[in-house]
Amino acid sequence: MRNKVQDRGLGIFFSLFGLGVFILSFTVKKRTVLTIGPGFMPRIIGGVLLLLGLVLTVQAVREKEAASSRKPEDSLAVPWNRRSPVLITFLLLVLYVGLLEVLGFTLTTVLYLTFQFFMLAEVRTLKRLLIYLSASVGGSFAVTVIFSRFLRLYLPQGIFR
Amino acid sequence: MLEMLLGGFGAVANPVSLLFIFFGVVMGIIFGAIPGLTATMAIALGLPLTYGMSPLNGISLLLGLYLGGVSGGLISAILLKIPGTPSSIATTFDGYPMAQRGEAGKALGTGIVFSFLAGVLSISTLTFISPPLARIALKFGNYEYFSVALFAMTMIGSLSSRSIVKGLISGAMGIFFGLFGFDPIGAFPRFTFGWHELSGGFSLLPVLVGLFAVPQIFKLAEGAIAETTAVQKFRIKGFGFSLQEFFSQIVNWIRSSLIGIGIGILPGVGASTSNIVAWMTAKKRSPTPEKFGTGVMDGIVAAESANNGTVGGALIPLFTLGIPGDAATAMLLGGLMLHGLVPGPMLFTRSGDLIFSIFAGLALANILMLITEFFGIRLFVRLLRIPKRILLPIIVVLCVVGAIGLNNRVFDAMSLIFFGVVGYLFEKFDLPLPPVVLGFILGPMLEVNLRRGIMAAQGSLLPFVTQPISMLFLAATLVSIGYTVFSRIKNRERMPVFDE
Repeated sequence: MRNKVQDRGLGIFFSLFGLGVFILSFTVKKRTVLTIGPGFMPRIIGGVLLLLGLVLTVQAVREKEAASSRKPEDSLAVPWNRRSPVLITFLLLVLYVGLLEVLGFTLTTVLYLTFQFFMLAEVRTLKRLLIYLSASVGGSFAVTVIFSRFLRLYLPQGIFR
Repeated sequence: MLEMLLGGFGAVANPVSLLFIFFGVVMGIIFGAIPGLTATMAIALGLPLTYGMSPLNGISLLLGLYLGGVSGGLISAILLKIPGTPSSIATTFDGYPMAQRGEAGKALGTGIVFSFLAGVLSISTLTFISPPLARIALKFGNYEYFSVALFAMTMIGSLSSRSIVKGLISGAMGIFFGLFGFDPIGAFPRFTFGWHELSGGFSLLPVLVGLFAVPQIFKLAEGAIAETTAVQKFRIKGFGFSLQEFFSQIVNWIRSSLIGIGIGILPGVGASTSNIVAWMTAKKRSPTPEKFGTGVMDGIVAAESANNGTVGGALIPLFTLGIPGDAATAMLLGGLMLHGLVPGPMLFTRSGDLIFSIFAGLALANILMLITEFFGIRLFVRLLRIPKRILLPIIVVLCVVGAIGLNNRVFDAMSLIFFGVVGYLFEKFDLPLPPVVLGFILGPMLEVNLRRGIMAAQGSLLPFVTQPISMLFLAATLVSIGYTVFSRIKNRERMPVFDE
């Protein structure tokens, strides 16, 4: 079930975003002799997004009015008690990528996997703790060896350079 | 053509290539079977493995992943009542009731055999239709390419979401993400904000993998993906059905495969739609439609023939025009480009031998899929029990490795996380992801051909509507949008708003 309030917000967001892209397209410099410069496509896309955003807003407002007499609609939003794991996962990923060049791939991966496993699972027994720790350490080393040694891919070494 | 095809079989029938295809098929089936993992993710994770391979071996592995990924969904659809991939949704309708009745072996055998047979039909169609189509496409100029790309964009935008406006917004956002970096005609930096890493724009791989693979871990954290599943017990003897039952399904198999191939060729509608359309058609044509959904063989034959039929169909526009039909073929496009192959009509002229080797590889992958699924079914079922809280973080790590390995820079891993967040938010707000991918891929094609076309016509837009092929596709674009809008308004009148 769609949330009309959410759609209205989404429509307004994309209208403003499209307007921003449209305005920004005029800042794209045109140094060449081309009659149609690099700002042409951004201008079209900005305009299209602005228009579609407005249509979505109008649609949502009209449908909300039509549906106001019916039962209230469910929210698509994540329940509050499930938001923090999503945010923590996001932060873990940002930290993981951000620290790759500092701590090196293997160590950062061990840390990321350990924290991510602990966040996703309930570690109540020593056996489980050992399983997750060995999965994070074993997984990290296996990936490093396979991709760095066998497939010769570049992986950041960080402090171990 | 036959000579080139035989040459293709000769090139691919060596132990190394076969091993890569086999590996691809096995991994593809595993990804297809585990709910939450898809063929698209399998190809995404397979890409970094192919960096150091020859184009033939690399592409063969990716095609094995694609084929296995589409087919593997039947295992969980039948045994768990959860389609492993959206392409097996209709398989659950009759597969699970059969499994509950103790006929899981028969259901699995039917699915495996008819997946293979549909694969034979669709790969043959791909092999024999693509070269003449590519010859026609050689005549395409700026106007035609622009109109074809616009048609593909609007098709996927209007068909991939319940709201046509949201589908088109997603497509426009995809084009927007492709605007960063050097402008494709004048090579002048655009929207780089002084950040030199952005001068080359976002790479295709982090965009695709970020959009499709990374959001899964957010969904798991949120509790939107089931962690534990109960697997139905099964026994299988032979393929589980008699010769008489097999022959009774021939018409259903051919019809459903053709539906799959036809839908696959259209951009925007892939195996996730074709299996349901074929199931509904089979039900309509059946003398006993009331039995559909209660566990009949016909339902599984229709769904599995259609989704595997789509594989060959979806590859036709990819190889001949460079236009991917869905997310998985978009990922394959990334793989082809990674190996220096630019899909389009010129591919057949420049790398004809390689293309026929790829077709041969696909045919061998189809045979290996039959053998692997039949003999390895117990192993695949066991893998369904791997906890996702262990699997998904490791998959994210593999995605990061693939992104870094692409250009040897961490910036691509950052893009991956960024697009992961974008993908998660888009799904939350009911904005479809396939149009984003198609917009990202087709955006430069649209821009280059539109700008060149206008410049060639000295500022006029008229040739876009006067050139016959271009006019045809523009008319098809208008008709498809008009039809979608009209049919939705009509349906809305019939249905209450809360059923949308």
